[in-house]
Amino acid sequence: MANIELDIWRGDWGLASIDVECLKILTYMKFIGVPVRVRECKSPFFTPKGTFPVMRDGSTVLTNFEAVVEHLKTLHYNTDVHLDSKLEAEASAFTQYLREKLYPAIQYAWWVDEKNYSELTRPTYAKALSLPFNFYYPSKFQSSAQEMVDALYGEHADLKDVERTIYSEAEKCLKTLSDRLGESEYFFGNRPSTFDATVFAYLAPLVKAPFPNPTLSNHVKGIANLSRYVARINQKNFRHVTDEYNKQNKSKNTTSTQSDREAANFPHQTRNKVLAAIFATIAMTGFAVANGLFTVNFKDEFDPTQDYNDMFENDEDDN
Amino acid sequence: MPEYSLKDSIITSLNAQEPWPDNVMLFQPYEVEQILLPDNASCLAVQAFLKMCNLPFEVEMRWNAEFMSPSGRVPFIKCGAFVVSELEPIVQFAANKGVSLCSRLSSEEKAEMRAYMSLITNVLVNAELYISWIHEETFNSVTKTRNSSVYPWPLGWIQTRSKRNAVTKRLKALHWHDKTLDQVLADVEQCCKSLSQRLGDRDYFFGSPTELDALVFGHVFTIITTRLPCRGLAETVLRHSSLVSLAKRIDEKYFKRP
Repeated sequence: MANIELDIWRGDWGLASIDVECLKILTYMKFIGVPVRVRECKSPFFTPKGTFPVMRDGSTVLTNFEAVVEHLKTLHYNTDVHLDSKLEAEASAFTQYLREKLYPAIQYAWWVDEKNYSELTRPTYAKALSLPFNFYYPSKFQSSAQEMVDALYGEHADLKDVERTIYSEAEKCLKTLSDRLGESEYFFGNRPSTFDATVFAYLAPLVKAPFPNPTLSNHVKGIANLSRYVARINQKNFRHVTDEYNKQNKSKNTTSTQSDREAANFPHQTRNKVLAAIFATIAMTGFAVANGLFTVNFKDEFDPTQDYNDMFENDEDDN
Repeated sequence: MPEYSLKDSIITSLNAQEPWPDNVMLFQPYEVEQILLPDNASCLAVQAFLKMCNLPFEVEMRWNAEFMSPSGRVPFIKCGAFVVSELEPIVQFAANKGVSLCSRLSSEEKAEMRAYMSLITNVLVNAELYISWIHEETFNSVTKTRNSSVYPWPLGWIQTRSKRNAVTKRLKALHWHDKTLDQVLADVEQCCKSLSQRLGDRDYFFGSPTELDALVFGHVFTIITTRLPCRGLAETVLRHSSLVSLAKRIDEKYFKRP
């Protein structure tokens, strides 16, 4: 009955999407098992907010997680039926807590940290975008992340100070989460809830992405029950994505020997050889002609002057 | 910055040995003619926290308290050689002196308390900022006059403008700026619902007073006692009677004037 489409940023590193918001919605939809057609899009130019995710269901177009959850509730898809009102209150409090403490740190690690941005974020998003847009969108997202950090931590603050504050708050937040989770399978009872989708979307990229400056992701990896939690949810819901990624990686690893490198060089090498040969031939011929080593003789085939001479000679004889 | 790390280490090591001095001063803007709704709420929360801890302090009103504060936000306390601003660092500071309201809570309960405190600072504070600075009617009739009351003429206008820009920027970064008033009030309603559900019919959130109670008191009490052209915020909060009675209880117990 539901004919839901979801446009997202492409995935990488065994994740279904590189973007936190996309991952939230995808995870939530996996939890409830709603049939959805996912498309990895390459240009967010025509979307309402200039970014993904965008969910379409008939004429409804939604761009944020809360709205999607509400919309799916009207279709009787809901993960939070097992929560009583008290747990629901707690879940909303914890959602705000993550939003306040962890989200700025994630934005900082992705976009504001110079090294991560130039070595990881920018290339990743450039790959996810099609040609004219990859020059525009990464820097746009970066400046909006920068603005957020400025607005929250003061515009003229020293970046090193800000980094330390942000990361230490995030670390405290992760410890709190870990205390709350304990050894249970999900945060609230033994069934996934909206909050679990949120936590997974925040933490999974930190665990999986190869950050050049891994301060924040090391905090996550250092907490055993949280990293097990992420692995568990990933295994249960995104197994096919991870498997496919691993398979691709493996095939790349085994063949990435000499033949692989040659194959990568292949078109260039042939082209270069041909070009060099043509250039050498032209140069040598030109040199030979200029020095008169051999002359191109057109006279053999047809020489009009000779005919004239002949005619002239004949005339002379006649006279 | 070296002085920053020095401050950290001093607070954690040296400071613990000294007891709470008698001459602690809490700085805040003028309550009657200057202070704005969000600042008033956080000042009241800090006062409530200090009173719950039985720590003596004196309130000192300064028109430029905001600019004296190390973080640029009010209130802040001056305790011996240390200047600490805002509720969370002050709670930390008091804990280093051995004064804590939540020492008997389990780590799970502490996690929960932190989450609820975030709920308030994320939803109620932003809603207060939105109403004071973005809602046209309130801004024109209340915020503008109060904020510029302490400055001479052209400076007041300039300062109000720049502060409004700063608040706008903050709300934009948090995606609050493009909300309508109704959406803001719906968020506040949701937040109050969560809080009153957690409180149930207990006297305090965790049995005895904690900094969460202080924070809730600061915001709820300020919202319901401040007269604004926009009644929606106060009406939304007033609908949750358990929160209102919590605020009244704390007011009577800790702020009753002799």
